[in-house]
Amino acid sequence: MISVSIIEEIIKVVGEKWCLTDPADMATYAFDGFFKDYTPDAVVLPKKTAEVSDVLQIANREKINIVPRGAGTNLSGTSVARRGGMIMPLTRMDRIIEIDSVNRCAIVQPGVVNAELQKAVEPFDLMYGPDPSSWYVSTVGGNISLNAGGPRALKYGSARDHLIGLEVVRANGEIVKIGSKTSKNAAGLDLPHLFCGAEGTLGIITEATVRLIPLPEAKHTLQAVFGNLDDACEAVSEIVSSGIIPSAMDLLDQILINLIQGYGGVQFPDGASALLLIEIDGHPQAIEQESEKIKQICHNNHAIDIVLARTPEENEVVWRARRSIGGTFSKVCKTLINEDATVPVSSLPDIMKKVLALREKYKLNIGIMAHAGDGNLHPSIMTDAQNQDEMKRVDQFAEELYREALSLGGSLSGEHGIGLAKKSFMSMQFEETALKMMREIKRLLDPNNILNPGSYLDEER
Amino acid sequence: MANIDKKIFQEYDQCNKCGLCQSVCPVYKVTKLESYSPRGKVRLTKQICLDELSISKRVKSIFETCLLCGACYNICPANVHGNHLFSGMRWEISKIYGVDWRKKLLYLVLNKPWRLKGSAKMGRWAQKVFDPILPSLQLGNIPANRMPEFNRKQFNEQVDEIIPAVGDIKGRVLYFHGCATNYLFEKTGLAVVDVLTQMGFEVHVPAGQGCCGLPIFLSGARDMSLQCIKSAVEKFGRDGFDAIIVDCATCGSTFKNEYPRVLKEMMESSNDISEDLLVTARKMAENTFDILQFVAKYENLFPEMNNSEKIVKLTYHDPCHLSKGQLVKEEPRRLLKRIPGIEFVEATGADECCGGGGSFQVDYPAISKKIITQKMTNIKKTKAHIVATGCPSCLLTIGAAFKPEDNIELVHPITLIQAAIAKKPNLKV
Ligand SMILES: Cc1cc2nc3c(=O)[nH]c(=O)nc-3n(C[C@H](O)[C@H](O)[C@H](O)COP(=O)(O)OP(=O)(O)OC[C@H]3O[C@@H](n4cnc5c(N)ncnc54)[C@H](O)[C@@H]3O)c2cc1C
Repeated sequence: MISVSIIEEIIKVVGEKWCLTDPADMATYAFDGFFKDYTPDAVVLPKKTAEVSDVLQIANREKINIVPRGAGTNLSGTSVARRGGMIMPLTRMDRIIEIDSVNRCAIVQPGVVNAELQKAVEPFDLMYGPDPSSWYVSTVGGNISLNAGGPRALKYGSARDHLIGLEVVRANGEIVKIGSKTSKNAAGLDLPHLFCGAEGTLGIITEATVRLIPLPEAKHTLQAVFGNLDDACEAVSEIVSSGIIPSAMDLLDQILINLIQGYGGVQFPDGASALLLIEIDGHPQAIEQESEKIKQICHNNHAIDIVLARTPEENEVVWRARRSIGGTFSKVCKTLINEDATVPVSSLPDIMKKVLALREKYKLNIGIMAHAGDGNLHPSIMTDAQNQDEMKRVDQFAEELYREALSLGGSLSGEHGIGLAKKSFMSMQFEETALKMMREIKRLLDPNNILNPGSYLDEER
Repeated sequence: MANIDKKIFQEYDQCNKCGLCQSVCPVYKVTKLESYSPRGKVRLTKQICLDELSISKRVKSIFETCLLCGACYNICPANVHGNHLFSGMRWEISKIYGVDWRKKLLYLVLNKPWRLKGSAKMGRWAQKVFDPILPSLQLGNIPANRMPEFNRKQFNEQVDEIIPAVGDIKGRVLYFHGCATNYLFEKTGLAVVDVLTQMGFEVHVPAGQGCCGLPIFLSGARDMSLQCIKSAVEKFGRDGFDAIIVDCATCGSTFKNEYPRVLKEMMESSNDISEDLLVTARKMAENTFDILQFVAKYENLFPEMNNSEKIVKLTYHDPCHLSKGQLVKEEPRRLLKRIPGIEFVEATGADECCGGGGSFQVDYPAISKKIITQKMTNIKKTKAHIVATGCPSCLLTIGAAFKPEDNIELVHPITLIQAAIAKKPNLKV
């Protein structure tokens, strides 16, 4: 609970309209893309940096928890108030401050929606690298805080690779500017990157300078359908070692193919057991040759159907269906849990085999999606959070999956972050010395532990 | 919410919380508040049904802050009918809070044809009397002096009940002209009749038509709307016609989508609704066509179009109730592009809501204004002089937003088609 007098103080900062406490409003901020709900005590929506700073000063003084939030689409349960306190959505700070096409960077407020940024820089023949499938909704602030990356991370990297400067507000309200506009920078500690993937635990991002990259002249997507998963994995390995770097290479298994069959008009042939979406971009002539080569590789690996999308419209149809996966699950299950195990790409076939074996072992309904080119696997567990017996098996599945991924030299997360979902696995990936370092950095920047407490770290240890 | 009929709201369980609806919801886009996002409203629906949250003034205002435009349903990968859930919630809320007295007055007027008639006459009188002070009066964002004038004579008093086909008869249709054409936009009605008869259709305009009832039941006052629905089904559920033609996107989508659903839901919660009524409403739904959809279907029956030396730029606005409610998007564009003398320019966001949403613009003028301002910017970018759209509410909202010096005219597409196929000298208008 937050006392009335403190609420009044916050109202003085942001205005009555933007400091909410009504139970109805709280209910709509009690969830994100994960499946665990926590009702906040207040929701405060600042419009500018100074307001963020003022509210943080109050919260720090009163030791009130603050969970920064973008669009609330994360899949790891990291923008909910799991220990009460207030949610601070940055959605109203949604201005693109500057597009510097010469220096190829943009300065944006954290609430700018990824797709809006893409749209704004497109006329300059530029793009923002990270393309999470949630890009029509998720915010740049959220993308940075979770080090998000989408299909094209394969060629262009994740949010971290495009972050060059930040303005952050510390827990004590201090406003700090770090980084610069330059593409090279060798001065001082690399602080911006500390906040990338920090899940809102170290400070609140109020402005970000991100790098932009030239929009590729042309883009092809090959949609290759295989009769079995092994063939598709084989094709992936061959493509990766062929010297071509596709901008994206997503793999879907039969369960997911059936799920998106028909969305926006896409149709897959009978017997489709695995689907590879391979996007290549670059000079029109170069990609003609490359798509021919990839087509050949798919053929050699027994693809049963290959469609080539050439125009932007054709590309959009193919990818829109793929992006819709996340939303379609509810047709078939009550709760969806999206795992995010990541392995060196050469180990993809190994981890894939393991998932199939574990799926059998724990008798779970799991669809498999992978950003195959970078070894990032998303087994999508279709379950029901109310079914306790099944949830136990889900936990066991996850633990074994991550143990395997880590033993192959992988990571707990490729892009969705840790949050509530995988906090208990942190000690599997990191030695105590590393965890201690993280805790000490957190304590230094946020001594009262008010910023998204309990996300990915148990600070008090 | 003990006695709520939860079956109606079951779809909340399908929501995956992916948030894709935020990207198209006109209200979310300008408020950036989760409470107003479809995803947030679905969550509220769920909690209310599960008795985890009670209906309150805030809940009421949240559900009112929705244009019921259907954009969220259209994009939802999980097929959650946000618009249905939310209008259903308004119904539940109205059972507790009643309906705003201003709206109630309006619905009383809409509810009976004779009352409508009286009020239109009143409207003309009021317009004359208040003319000198009109510029200062404001209806939501619509300044009173930008309201179109009421028809001098009601549309249905200007035409016969049966208007014969020109030349060989190709078919027989029923025409539902709705309130807007009857009292405000006679030109639309005359164009509908003219185009249809020239294409060879005999047009029947049943006497005593009233309001389709949608504004009434969308606000939650379902019981009150029943009279309108029954009357419309009685007049238009008749056999022996090739189609029921509607010139208003909203009324059309009401016939097609809302009657069967609303009647079914009301039937389940024990209102006096007969199975027969539902069966007829379903039949009626299948036979209903938007005028543009119908004309496009029989395009081959068009008389030759007049040539035009003058070229004007035109852009088209998709009414939500046509593009999302009836999935009619391509036909109007195809027809407009065919008209000689018209240079068709597509506007960005042509299928985004104009922000009118019935009484929404009166209840939430600030939000509505932000939405319409974006629409105007997009339209101005096309440099068009004509904006065509087949919905009286959009015509009003967009029309009122522009100033006379913007030199932008708003028209129902059917009037342009009429002009293009008019025999010289002009037959009627
Ligand atoms: C259908 C669907 C598809 C998805 N696909 C992908 C994908 O392809 N790749 C991918 O990486 N992710 C994906 N995601 C996950 C999610 O969309 C991303 O993690 C996204 O970056 C979250 O952004 P958001 O604006 O929703 O942030 P939120 O979910 O609101 O917040 C995420 C985290 O960032 C913190 N945060 C937010 N804003 C700030 C700020 N200004 N300052 C400090 N901390 C802040 C929050 O506290 C939280 O810890 C998907 C999600 C869905 C629902």
